[in-house]
Amino acid sequence: MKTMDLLDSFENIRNEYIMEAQDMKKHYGRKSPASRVKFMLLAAIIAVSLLLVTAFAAMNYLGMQEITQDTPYEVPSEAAPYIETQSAQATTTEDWSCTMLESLFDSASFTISVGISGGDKYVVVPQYCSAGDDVSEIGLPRGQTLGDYAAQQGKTLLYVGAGIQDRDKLGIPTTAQFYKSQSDSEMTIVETGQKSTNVSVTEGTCSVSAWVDGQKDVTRVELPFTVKEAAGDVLVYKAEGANEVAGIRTNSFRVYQSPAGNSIVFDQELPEIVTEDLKRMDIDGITYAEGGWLDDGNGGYECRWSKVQGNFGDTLTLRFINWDNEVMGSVVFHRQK
Amino acid sequence: MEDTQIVDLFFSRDQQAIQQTDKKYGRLCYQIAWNILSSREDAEESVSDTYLSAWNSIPPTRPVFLAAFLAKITRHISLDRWRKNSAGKRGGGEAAIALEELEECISGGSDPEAQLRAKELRGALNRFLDGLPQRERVLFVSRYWYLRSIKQMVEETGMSESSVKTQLFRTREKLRRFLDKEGLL
Repeated sequence: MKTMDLLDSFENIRNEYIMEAQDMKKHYGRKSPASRVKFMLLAAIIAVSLLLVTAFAAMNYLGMQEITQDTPYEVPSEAAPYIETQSAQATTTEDWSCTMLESLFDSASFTISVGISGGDKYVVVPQYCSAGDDVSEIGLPRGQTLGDYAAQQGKTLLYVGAGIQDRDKLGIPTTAQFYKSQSDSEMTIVETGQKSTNVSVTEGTCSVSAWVDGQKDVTRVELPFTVKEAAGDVLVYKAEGANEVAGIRTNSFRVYQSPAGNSIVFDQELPEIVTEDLKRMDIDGITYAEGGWLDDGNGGYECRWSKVQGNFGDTLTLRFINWDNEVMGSVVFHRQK
Repeated sequence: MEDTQIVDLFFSRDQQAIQQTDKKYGRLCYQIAWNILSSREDAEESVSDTYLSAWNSIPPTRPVFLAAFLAKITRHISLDRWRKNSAGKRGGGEAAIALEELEECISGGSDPEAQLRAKELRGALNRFLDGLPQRERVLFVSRYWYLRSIKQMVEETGMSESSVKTQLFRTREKLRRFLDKEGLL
C-alpha cells in the first residue's frame, strides 16, 4: 500500500467526523467536548473506552456493579437479582485465558463482563494502548512505560479487547467499554449499551481478542452466555399540540423501565438536513448517559437515550438547545394511560 | 442562509447558489485548499473548481451535510492538483509532511494485492475512527483530513507543540496496529 492511498482513503470518512473537526476550538476551548458528541452519533458505533484506576489488591475479577459504580453507566443495585453469572471459559495456546463473567439484559439494554488472565507470562493491557503508554493505563503509579514495565517483570505485553457479537442483529448502535485491571496480569472488561426493543434475546456470544506485543496474529475466542431479560414497564408519552422544532417532528416517545435501568426511544421524523444550530435535546429533570440517532435502514432514524434517570411524571417537556445553550423550542408530552 | 435554502438554490439552478455557498463556506474550502497546496492561486482555483463540481452534482445529489460535501470535493480536487504540481515528487504544503508521517502506519511496496486491499481502507478507517475518543479523533482528522499544520493545531487547541505531536504519534501507532490486525498491511 502506498501512503497516498491512505491519505486518499481519508476522503471517505464519515461526514460527522468531518463536521466534528471543522472547528477544533469547540473541542479544546471552554465548551465541554461531551456536550457536542450527543448530537453527532448518527449510526456510529462508538466504543467509549474508560479505564478505571485502582490499586492492585484483589486477584478475583470484579463484578459489573463495582466496575460501573459512580459512572453514568452504573448498574443499579436493583439489578442484582437479574445479573446472570456465567461459566464459559477458554485457555489459548499462547497461555492466556478468558472467562465469561456476567450478563444483564432487559428489553432495551445490555451489560456483559468478561475476565482475561495473562498468567505468569503476560502483562494484560487494553487494546487501545501501546508499549509507549504510561503504566497508569493499568492502574500503576505513573513514571514508566508499559513496555519497560513488562520487560522489568520478565513478561510480555498482551493487548486485549472484548465485545458482544451480532451487533447488527441485536440492533446495537453504540457501546461503552470499561477496562479494569485487578493486577498487571488480570483485567475485567465490561461492555454496556442499548439494543433494539424488537429483539428478544435468550443467549449471546462475547468475542475476546488479544495479541502478543510484537506478534502480528490476533487470537479470537468466542464465549457463549445465557440471558434472562429483566422484565419491566413501558411508559408511552405522546406530543400535545405543535411538535416540530428545528425541523424535527417528535410524535411520541417510550420509556423502558426495568431494574437494569431506564431507556428512552423517540419516535421522530427528521428533515433531510438537520439544522446546525441544534446542539442537543433534553427533558427537564431527566439525565442520560448517552444519546444519539440510529439509522433504521429504512430511510428513518430512531433516537435513543441510555441509562436515563429522573421522574417520569404525567407531563414532560422536550427542549431543543442550541450552541449558545438557549432553548430553540420545546414540545410538551402527556403520558398515555 | 440555511443549508437547505442554499441547496434549494442549486436545485432551481439559481446562480445565487454559488454566491451563497461562497459566502458561507468559501473560507472553509479555501483553508482546506491552502493547507494542501500552499499557493494562493492554486487554492483559489481549487475552490472555484469545487463550486463548479457542486453545481454539476446538485441536483441530483441533495447533500445532508453541505459543509462536509463541499469540503470533500475541495480536498479531492486540491490533492489532485497537488499531485500534478509535484509530478510524482514530494511537493510543498502539509500534504507532503502528512504523507511522511503516515508512512509509519503502512508497510513499504505497492504490490497488486496491497492495491486491492486499499479499497477496504474506507470501511476500516471509519471503524478505527469510531473507536477513538472524540478529542483524539478531532485532532487526527484535523491533521490527516483537513491537513492542518501543527502550528495551526497548536493555536486552535491551546496544546503545546510536543503534546500535539505526541498525541498524533500515538494515534498513528494505533492506526498501524489496527490496520495490521485487519490484515490491511
